[in-house]
Amino acid sequence: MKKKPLQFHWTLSQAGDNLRASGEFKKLTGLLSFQEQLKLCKRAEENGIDSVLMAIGFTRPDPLMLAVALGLETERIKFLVAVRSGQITPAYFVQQMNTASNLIGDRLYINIVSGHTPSELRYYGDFKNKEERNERTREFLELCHAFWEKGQGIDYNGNYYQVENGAIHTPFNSEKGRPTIYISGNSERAIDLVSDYGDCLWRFPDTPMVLKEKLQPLIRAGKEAGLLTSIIARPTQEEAENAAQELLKNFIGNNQGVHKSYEERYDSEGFTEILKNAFNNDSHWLTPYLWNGAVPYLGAPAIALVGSYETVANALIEYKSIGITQFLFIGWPDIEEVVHFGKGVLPLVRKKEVEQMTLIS
Amino acid sequence: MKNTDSSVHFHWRLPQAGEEQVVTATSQNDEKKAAYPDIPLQGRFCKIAQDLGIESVLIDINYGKPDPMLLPIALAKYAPKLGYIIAVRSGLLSPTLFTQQINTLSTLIKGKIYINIVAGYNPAELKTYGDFLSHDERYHRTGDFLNICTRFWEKKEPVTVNGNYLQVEEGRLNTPFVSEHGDSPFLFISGGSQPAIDLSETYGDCWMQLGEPPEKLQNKLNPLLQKGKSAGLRFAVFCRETTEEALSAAFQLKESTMSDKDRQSSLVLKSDSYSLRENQLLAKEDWPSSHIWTGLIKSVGPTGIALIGSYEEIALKIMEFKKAGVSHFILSGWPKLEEMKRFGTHVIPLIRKMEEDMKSTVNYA
Repeated sequence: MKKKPLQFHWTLSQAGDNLRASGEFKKLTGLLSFQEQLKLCKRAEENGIDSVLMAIGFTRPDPLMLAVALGLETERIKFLVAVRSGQITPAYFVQQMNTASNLIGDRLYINIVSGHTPSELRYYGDFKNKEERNERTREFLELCHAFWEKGQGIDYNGNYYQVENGAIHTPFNSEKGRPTIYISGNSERAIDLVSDYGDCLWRFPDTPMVLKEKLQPLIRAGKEAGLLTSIIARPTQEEAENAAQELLKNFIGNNQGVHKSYEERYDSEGFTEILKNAFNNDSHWLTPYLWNGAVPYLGAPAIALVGSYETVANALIEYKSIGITQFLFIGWPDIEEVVHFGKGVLPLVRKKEVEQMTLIS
Repeated sequence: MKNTDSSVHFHWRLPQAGEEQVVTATSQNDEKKAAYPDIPLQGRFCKIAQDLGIESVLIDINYGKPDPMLLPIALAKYAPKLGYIIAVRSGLLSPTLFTQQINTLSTLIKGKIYINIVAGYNPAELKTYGDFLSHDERYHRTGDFLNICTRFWEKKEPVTVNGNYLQVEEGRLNTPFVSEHGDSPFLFISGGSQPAIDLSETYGDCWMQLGEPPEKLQNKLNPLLQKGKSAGLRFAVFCRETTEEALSAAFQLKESTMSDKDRQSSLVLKSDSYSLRENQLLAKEDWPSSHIWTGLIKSVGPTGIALIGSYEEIALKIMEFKKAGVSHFILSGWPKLEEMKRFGTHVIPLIRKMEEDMKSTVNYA
């Protein structure tokens, strides 16, 4: 696993509306500029990004529909499409994914999310608690795998889903016959889910020491681990720290109201832990490169790798050494940050990876 | 796009891959090909439909075909002004997610979007998707489904519905339905039974059912029409220069479908295995109304009920339906493309002229 080059992804969730995460949740626009999103896809494509994350939620367009539309306008970039188990039957989900793969090619990954905001899940008719959602997600994935592996003659009698002689004739258009499955979560349950049904975990960053221990069961199971993190990389350390301060200037006069009520809003351990840390600690530097200064304004995903190209590249290599193989980045403004990454950080990472390989051999 | 236009609306069933050039009905379900979208071919079909004055294409749903929701994103590149009828069933996904997908589609193709909601007629197939409800339960769930969807489209957010089958609480969707053709998609409710009529009255724009003789329709449709809803019929079409040619085409198709043993029970096969002439005689007893033929139903299924005649005869028949209150037709034919071309080139202009003549007659009176 260590020999595999690091794989990089970028979130498309704020293209054209960069600071939306600081806005009042219910009022965020769900009508985003297609052209801005297309621009970021193309920029990501040119900067070594493998896929873009298509987030899910009531403030956004449907991620799969949008992925197909963007996929028809681009060549290589892949789409990491979020899905929640309580909103669609596994059979129909597989039918949609498989159809999409025949429209834009083998360029789709899925990102299984259990949902972190119960009130929002009820908009969609999902009234289950966290334990139940997790159980249901297991069944969902088990059934999806059955549809992808067998395609027909599927019988299933679970607590949440039942299927009799199930079949979907449209196959997923790839050699392995199914999309790569990412599963998001910071709890042990998420690790178990990936171990049983997934390919790679997405979680928030922590210090390499803490992560190393937490990820051991996953890596022993032969699965991959990835970090969902913001990134502020500039030619020098000073420029990066200035950029971080510039970002904060957007929030002068903001009393942190949007994210302060995190304890009521979320039932996700990962979100709550990061927000708690950011609200209650004086120092915003968890390590010399891991910064949570923007978390009070932009939420948990704003935990960021901050530093010079060299510092950030070293941080990525350090994470790689404890078993992280993929990164999913958020940036402000995303359209510029993706170039800092692609032109500044990425060449250094690749160089260091080659050096390591040479050392090993 | 809602029920304001007085001219008859024509829609056509979109052929699945492998069907377009197929002459017979029986080979239309070439499963291997039908499972894959063939966008260049289907897109070309859509472009021709658009140019012929067909209002929209129907994209069916079942486990053997690609998902109808996603195809219009690709097809609209070929035919941006064409409408797309997306079939859906209430047991497949959350009504909130469905509305979100339809709204997203509207922002992407900015065109005419129609929904064809079917309660489902084949319990065994529904179980393959995990839907185990009975006929009446499915209609109730479809009612809950439409109740939730229409509240979102009417911007009655937050949407709270506590149905027997589907519930949402304080629901919101921030991606709106965006179209120059209205604030919501046009809603066909398909089904022959009373619950389908009831759902059409409550939530739908148009009640769509399998073709029936016009004589039977007027009384059935009146209550619905009085509520400002419209009515539609699903027909196969054989239109030709002359009546004889149309009949001959229909009987040839019947003959060719007879030879496909797999699609028929041995009983049907036995009783129907006649020569072309005998077919003709048998079929002549199968005319519930002039120019409506049921002879294909046994071999191609319920959508085989057909309008047959010369261009003029078909146009007059459609005007007869129009007088009985029918304003939407979803049509299909064999071969797919050729039949649509004939209909669009010869029949639609005749109907438009008859509609004009009728209007001026009314005006003079």
